[in-house]
Amino acid sequence: MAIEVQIPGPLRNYTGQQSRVQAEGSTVGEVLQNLQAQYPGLGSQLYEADGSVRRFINLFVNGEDIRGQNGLDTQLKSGDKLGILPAMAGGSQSLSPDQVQRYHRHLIMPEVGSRGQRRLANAKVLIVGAGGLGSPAAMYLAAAGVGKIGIADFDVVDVSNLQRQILHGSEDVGRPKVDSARDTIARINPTVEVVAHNEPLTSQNAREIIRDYDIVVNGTDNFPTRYLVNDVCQFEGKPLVDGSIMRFDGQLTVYAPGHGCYRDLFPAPPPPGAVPSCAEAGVLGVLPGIVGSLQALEAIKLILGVGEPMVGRMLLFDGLSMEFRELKLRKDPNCPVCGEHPTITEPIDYVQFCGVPQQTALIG
Amino acid sequence: MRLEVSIPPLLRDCALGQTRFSITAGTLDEGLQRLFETYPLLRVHLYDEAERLRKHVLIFFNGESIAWLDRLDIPVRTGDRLTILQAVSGG
Repeated sequence: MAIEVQIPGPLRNYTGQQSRVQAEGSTVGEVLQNLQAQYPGLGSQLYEADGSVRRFINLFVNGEDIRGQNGLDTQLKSGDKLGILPAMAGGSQSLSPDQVQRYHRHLIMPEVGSRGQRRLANAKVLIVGAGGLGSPAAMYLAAAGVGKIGIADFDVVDVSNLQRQILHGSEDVGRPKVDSARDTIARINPTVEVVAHNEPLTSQNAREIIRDYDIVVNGTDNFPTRYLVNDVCQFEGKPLVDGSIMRFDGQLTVYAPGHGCYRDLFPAPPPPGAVPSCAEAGVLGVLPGIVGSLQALEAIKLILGVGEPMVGRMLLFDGLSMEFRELKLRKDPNCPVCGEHPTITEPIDYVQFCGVPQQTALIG
Repeated sequence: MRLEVSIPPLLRDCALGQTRFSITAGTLDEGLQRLFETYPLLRVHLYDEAERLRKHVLIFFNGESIAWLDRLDIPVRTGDRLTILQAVSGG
């Protein structure tokens, strides 16, 4: 019986660059032996001199580690897939056996693999606002193995947040959002380092905070902070994964340094009162779940360097008609922040710029 | 020809409760004119007193901002889309 064997990138030199090959056998051990017979170069990669499988080689049948089954004697049936995953060499860069198990479904994807997983582990992402958008973004980034997640929010959990802000639960009402966010992330993936910024993001502190991260995910709920985060990401050269929501509708885009910014679209905010906030107009609880998850996806794509990020285009999501629509965005050469002759090179007074109080900042 | 129009849900009260509807027009220019003749309140929300598009609003024709177009008297084909976008802050 031929079994499909998934060959990881580093071992493909021995299989003529094939990522999937067939080998005969009714147990894992037999398949490995036959694999070695077909591709002799693999032998020294898979086996020690005494014939035992090398300690850093992890083997999975249909995604399940054989150590939790019968080891090399694990029986195979037609259609089973055998995955080989070496813990990568490279000192502190290597993935531990625990990581190999946890991220198995990532590791078998050519777009992620061991190298991509290590990129995730080394990535630092700041999430501005632990609210509707920040919740799913933080949780998926944590689950995906992003090494360091910063949470910027100075608010406490209110019972009216719970219909959409899934980082927090009923027992968290009254607690600082950064604390319940930290607990939720630790429950999902205790290996993630969470940095709590339990303070309002301001013109004074934003540069220093954002500087420490690779990517910023915007989940704020007010215009002053949106312009602040946009401008500072431009000043600091950080990609900004931007999302916003209202009722059944969402907007998503990525502002990459050198490829435009929020001000290119919206040079100025609406006059105070012209466009209500979620607190005033409402938002369906699941809506930020969709847009925030898409933000996590875009952040992961940027970290991995795969796919086509949402740069230069905006996705509009309409939950009522269940339609995604894409709009093209262009860089404005006259933009005061990212244009050819910028006139704003330091954070300004965003409360004054927007003409609205910032007291609700970061509530999400 | 029928131009498919989509407006922000927050402005639906300006268009008899609709967010999607079609208007008949020969050109884009004519379509915009007809849109604001039919729903004059929409114009108030989208344009300022000086008849300039407000800075938190964009109008897209088939996914491209009309601000990039050299001229607006371009013919409309059935199925062409006019999308009105305004900044929202919710998170």
